[in-house]
Amino acid sequence: MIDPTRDMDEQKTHLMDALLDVLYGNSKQHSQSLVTAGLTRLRGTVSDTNELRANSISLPTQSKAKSRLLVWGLTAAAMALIAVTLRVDDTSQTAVAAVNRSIAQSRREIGRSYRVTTRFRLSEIKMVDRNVDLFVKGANRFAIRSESLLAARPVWLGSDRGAAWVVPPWGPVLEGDTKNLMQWVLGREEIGTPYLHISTILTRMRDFYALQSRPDQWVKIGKQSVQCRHVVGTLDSESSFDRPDRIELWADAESGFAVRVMARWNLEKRQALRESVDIQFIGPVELDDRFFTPDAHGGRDRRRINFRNVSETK
Amino acid sequence: MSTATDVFEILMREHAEMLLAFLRSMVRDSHAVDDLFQETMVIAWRRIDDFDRSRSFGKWIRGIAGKLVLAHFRKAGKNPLHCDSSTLDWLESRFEPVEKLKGDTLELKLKMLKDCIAALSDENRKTIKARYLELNSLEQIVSRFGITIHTAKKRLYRAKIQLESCLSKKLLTWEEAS
Repeated sequence: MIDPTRDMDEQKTHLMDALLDVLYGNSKQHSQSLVTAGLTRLRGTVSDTNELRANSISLPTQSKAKSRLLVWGLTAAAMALIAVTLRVDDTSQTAVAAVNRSIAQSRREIGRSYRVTTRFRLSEIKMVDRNVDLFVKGANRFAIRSESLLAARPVWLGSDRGAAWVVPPWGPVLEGDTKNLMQWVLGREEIGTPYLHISTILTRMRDFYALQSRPDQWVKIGKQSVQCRHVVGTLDSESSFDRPDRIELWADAESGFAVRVMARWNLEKRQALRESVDIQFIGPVELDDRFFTPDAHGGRDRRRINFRNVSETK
Repeated sequence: MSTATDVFEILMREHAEMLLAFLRSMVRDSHAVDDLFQETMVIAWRRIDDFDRSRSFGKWIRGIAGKLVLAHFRKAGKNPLHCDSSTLDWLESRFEPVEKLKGDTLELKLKMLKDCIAALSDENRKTIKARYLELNSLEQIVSRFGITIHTAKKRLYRAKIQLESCLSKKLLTWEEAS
């Protein structure tokens, strides 16, 4: 489940990163080096140098007054730049491939259950764990069962191909889209995890983290041990302040499906915040289509309201 | 009349910073940005005959760069910002008016952004300047302002969102006035 508003905000921060560097002159030298390197590369690509001279174009009006700029030159710096840009990091490529394989697996229409443990740090020495059960089938269907802190009955929430819902222990069923659901979850500590689908965290890992492959590890699933590819992702940008600083994936070496995903935030000594989210595979489960609707979780005969009217239920 | 290569070099040098900023707005990997920059130059040179000289060279070259970025994401199977043609249109809607602003250099054209920075809260302005003007690392910002790394990231993030909103309002007002 990906929040488009958040993506747009990140796009804005990237644009500002680039423009602020221009404003303060941080990118001028590099951009000119790139032109020099590009021209060098062009010279190498165009075998017939006469082709370069034979073509002629006139400058647009705005540039006519400008004098000729720098001369051609094969500089050592330009060559070094090209060498750097052509470098390929094998470890990183293998890691990306492993994460991509897990994403593809997470999108398969197979029912799976995971135990999600979110650890909150309350003080320097006190921690509290919140557990929820996550059920997924394909990329667009999930359901989460969370024990309610106040009621004997659990809270169920989920999404069926974009139609999101919450069945609270009592009161009306909330309905809306996944964005509404995400906003609702953010205000509930008992849910704990900001990730509502295994494919969400894996996609984030692939797209926003520097990935490195580590040696295979054996991970226990019940009584069995499974050989897993181990990939570590490190966040290297400040464009999003609340993302975990590190995400680790253990994926079944044979099939590629995610056996365990662990996200960690590097908290300051006295920060009382979410410290980690640990998602562990429990096993495959038979889940029919109805499982991803509120009807399957005690919501069939209850009143339905939109998330926008959630204050009515408080 | 100048030789084609000279003219091409002049145009490229004139639009290099803008092109680099455009690419950096979509691609975080600096090695990939450098590659895409040079690839854009190669394609632009090969297609220079298609360039309509009555139109903006900057816009034309950003069009080429945008297509290369989408192809790059398809090939890598990695698209951090879920960048698509609508993202490219959105970015172009920011770059095109900036290009039309007064000023010989892009730095001068971005005077509006300076006004937006001046309008930020004191702490956000100081953090932005420490990061981009004085090129402090996040760790240096943390020790300089006595804040946590989380607060430093949060300040930078929020300040950049505010700057984008301020800049887009100013560009819109400027476009309507002209």
